[in-house]
Amino acid sequence: MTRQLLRYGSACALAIALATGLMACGGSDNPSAATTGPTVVATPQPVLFEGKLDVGGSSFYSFAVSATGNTNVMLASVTTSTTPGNSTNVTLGMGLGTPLGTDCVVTTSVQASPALQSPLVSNLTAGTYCVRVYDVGNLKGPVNFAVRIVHT
Amino acid sequence: MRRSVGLALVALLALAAAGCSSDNSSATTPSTPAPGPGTDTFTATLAPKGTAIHSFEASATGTVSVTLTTTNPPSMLVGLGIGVPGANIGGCDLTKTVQTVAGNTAQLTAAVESGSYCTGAFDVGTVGPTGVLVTISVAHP
Repeated sequence: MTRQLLRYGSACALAIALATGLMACGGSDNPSAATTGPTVVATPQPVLFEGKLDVGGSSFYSFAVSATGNTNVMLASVTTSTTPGNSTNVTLGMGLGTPLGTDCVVTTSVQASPALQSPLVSNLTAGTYCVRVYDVGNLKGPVNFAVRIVHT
Repeated sequence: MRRSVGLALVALLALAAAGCSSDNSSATTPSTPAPGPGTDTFTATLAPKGTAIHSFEASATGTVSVTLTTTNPPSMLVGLGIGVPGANIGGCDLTKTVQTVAGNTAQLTAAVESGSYCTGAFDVGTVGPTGVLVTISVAHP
């Protein structure tokens, strides 16, 4: 009888030990918390819009914003030829807007000289936008330009 | 008998605990150096009509200072520029340029915001057939 009791007690102890050990499993401290997906944070995407601008001309580039955030537009380089040393400090127009047909309807614009800081910054919601570069009457000949656009 | 039951309990608890870990601390994570302010120094041979370009990251808004520290042969006049990586001019679309000889103080400075940039030297018609060894230091935020 004593031996039977001891066996029964041992079995119970083993069961309790296993149950206790398994209850400690799990990666959450709050079992009632609902599982949620990871928060997606849009990483700013830099793109380079390069081209050639003629006297009195303009050029535009369209891009897609995937999440609300700031878009920075920098007139990074203007050169009179592809040979190094021909950078020019000419002022050009830069505008930010939305594409319409085969055109870019500018809603915000600045006049800027080449620099490594963005004179045009705008908070945009998800959608398609465009940047236009244009001569404001300062060009005496064609130039190469590079515009850096950083958007979400 | 009691001792064996006790040992069995301890062993079972240990097994149960070992099988339910959610800690991945033993996994190795690739180490990526965090971008930050610093000074890059690079040396390159400038060929006739050539360029020597170096790319760097600015981690914040601030001022970049570019110093042509030495040339070999010495006292060579070369072009020094800063811009953004691009395709218009040999991998670096230059924003600002100067013509200079080597010295201890920055010959070129530019205000920047965080992002990728490039700087380097270019021949202004002075580099002979054997080239010029240039050393450039770039202090960036």
